[in-house]
Amino acid sequence: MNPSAEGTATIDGYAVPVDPMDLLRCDSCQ
Amino acid sequence: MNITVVKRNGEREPYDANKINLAIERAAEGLEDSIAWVTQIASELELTLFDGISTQQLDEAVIQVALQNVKDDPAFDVVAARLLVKTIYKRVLGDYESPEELKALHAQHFAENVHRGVDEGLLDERLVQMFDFDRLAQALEPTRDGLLKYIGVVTLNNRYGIKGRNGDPLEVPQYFWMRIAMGLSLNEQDPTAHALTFYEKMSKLEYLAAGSTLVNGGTSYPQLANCFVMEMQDDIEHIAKTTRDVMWLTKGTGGIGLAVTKLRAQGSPIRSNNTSSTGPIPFMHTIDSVLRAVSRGGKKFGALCFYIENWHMDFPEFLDLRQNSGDPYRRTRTANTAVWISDEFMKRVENDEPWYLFDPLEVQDLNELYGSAFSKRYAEYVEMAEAGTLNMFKKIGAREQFKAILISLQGTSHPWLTWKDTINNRALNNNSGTIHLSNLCTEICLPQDVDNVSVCNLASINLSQHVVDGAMDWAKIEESARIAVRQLDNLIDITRSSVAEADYSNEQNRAVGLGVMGFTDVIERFGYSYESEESYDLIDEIMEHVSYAAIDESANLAQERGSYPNFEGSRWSQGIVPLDTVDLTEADRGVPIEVNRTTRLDWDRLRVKVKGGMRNATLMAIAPTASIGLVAGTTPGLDPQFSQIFSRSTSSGKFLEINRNLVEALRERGLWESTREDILRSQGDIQNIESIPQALKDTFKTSFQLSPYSFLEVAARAQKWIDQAISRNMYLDTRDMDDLMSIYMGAWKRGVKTTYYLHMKPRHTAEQSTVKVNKAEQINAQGSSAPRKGFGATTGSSTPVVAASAAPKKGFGFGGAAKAGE
Repeated sequence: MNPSAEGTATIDGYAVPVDPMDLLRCDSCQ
Repeated sequence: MNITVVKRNGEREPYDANKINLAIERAAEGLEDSIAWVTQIASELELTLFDGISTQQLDEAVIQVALQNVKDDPAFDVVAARLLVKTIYKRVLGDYESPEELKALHAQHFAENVHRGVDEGLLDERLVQMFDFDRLAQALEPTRDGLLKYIGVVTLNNRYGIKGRNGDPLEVPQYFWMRIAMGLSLNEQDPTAHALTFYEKMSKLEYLAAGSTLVNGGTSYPQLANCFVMEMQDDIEHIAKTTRDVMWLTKGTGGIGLAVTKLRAQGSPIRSNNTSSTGPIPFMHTIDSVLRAVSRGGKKFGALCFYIENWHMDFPEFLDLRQNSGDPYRRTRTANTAVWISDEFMKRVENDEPWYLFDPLEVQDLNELYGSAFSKRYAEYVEMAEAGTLNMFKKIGAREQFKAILISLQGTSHPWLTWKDTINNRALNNNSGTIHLSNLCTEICLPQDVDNVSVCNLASINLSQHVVDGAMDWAKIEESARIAVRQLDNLIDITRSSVAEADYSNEQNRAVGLGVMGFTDVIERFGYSYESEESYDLIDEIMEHVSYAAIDESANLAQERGSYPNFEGSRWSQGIVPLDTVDLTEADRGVPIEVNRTTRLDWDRLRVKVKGGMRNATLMAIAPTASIGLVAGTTPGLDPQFSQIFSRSTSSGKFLEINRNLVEALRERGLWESTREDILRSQGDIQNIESIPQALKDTFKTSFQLSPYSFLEVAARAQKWIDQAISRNMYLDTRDMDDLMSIYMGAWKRGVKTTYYLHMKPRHTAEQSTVKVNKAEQINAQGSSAPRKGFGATTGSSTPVVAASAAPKKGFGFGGAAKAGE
């Protein structure tokens, strides 16, 4: 599925957007 | 109830609130309202204590409490970062009292820690043989750790710092920077002097080497290159060889691009056993499994992107690889996918013409051709197909396929769209073969064949460290670019891989990719909107300076060290620079490339100089910088601001980040205190908050609020100076297929070489349904007299101290402290 659809996290009771970079798999080279 | 703390040696001692308060006080030193912050953290910490807490748990609890308050003020992030760095100091260097003592401890222990790393077989033994440790140790500057945000310290410590065989951390942040700098100076005549130069730049976060280099630099396994780009040949031996190579490259860390266009289609004949082929899909699934098998104990899967040209007969199945449903053996759950698109296809889409799919076995030269030569040959194959002389072909509408690609992109974020003819026609290294694909992150443009696995070596300039008095410091950018190019060139002589074809290609081409990060960080500080002419002009000017300095330095290095072996016959050797290839590409395409052609520097001088020799086949590429952007504490690559607040995941859990530039801008206008709760309630969107002036709303638009054409314009203006490509993330609010077709057509028309992930705005966003967690009120209700800051700030009220028995049972920090309704 489109990873950007997993776009909300709950932190400390607040719904906040997830950093899209968390969804990337590019950290093997980066 | 008395609380005792269990020390590392197992002894218990009574919990000493004063000691903790003092530590928090030191961490908050120099911050505005520091006393209030200290009180707030200290009183909230009491909620998390329990009898028998270990010292390490106590350290973590203080940090997590500080992090929980970042939503009140980003200064809490500074406190958390300082507290975390201090725990690292304690573990690596021992206790200290003053900054002077800390600096002395850094110098005192440096040599012994490097020796230990070498003795344990972790670090390259040349580190203890080639350097003047006294000079290096004296240069270590722990105050630079203050540049790191919390996420930066976490990333450095968890991902990059060396740990002893028994798990002891061996490095504080400044040891880490110095070790990387040393590891990239091993081929220099005066390694100490160059290590010091590289250390100065990286420890000040002015530029950073890319991930693999930071993981393996100076170690006994120096696999420092970042990207490996290969193609699979249409024979079973090579398929097996490629599978083996993917395993080794994955073990060593490195992103992989793999083209499968040459593999014959499903149903295509195999003469040797008189049967037929399964096509490329099952082999892609096999490699996808390899990525999970070689995965560092299951913690980190390999990372790879498959590329295919969209005339391949099996392309429709390729589009389904990332679908959740369907036969799992015909899916790639881990690997990414990208499509390699020709000008011919884009023209046929524009003209609503038919598109033909072929079996590569019957059109073997097609994958080697690009631009007008491809179009000519493609037309010949179309004629042959219509004349009935090809065994396999399929005719569909070009628009129909373009829509299918975009529908898949919408649904799965794959395949990424990349334009082969823009890439090949603009290549300065086109004398060494056809470029058949880009890499994992779509910023690399290097040729490959059966004897060459192309390799790229990356670093990124942190633009946010190049702003002085509200303007770009061009001299500093030039200096950073020059030093980074030398560092990257060194890397090529030091790195090694487990694939002979990769080492060979690296030596023959010496390709590097210097990029930038922090663009949005900078424009926010300048007060520019991402979608403004000021921003477009700024990225244009920045990349012109980076490009000029990088190319000039590579020409200097050629004079000092010799040209790269494949230099003769390259476009460099003809006095061509990247900008010139825009016109060459336009001529071949026969359609205008819509990009501004302004120049500011003396490119004629450089055209003459590059003819004399270049050290590197390529110089520039803008990587996503997803991880090193965290270390640098800036926005990644050229990406816009995703939200003014968002969640970040680390190995220690999720926490909230808030855009410091926005907080500062609101503070300057006296608006932060009155708007922050609204900002949190609106999930980081300030556009509907009435009291915020329009100018700020324009500057602080988030990704989905910007015109997608602004992403293309920024990319196009940067691309004109860059010989490789850009990892251009796209963010779209629209789901209209006509809009999507126009946007991606617009990318091609502007000469953008590649696009990366497409992030679609979710149809529904979660509402803030949870009642505000208000620890302040909880504490105050129980009687705290502590002065409150931030959310839940109250006036007056009385005292406290929450009994330890009221401590939550769910661990520390987020999710651990009391939750509403619990």
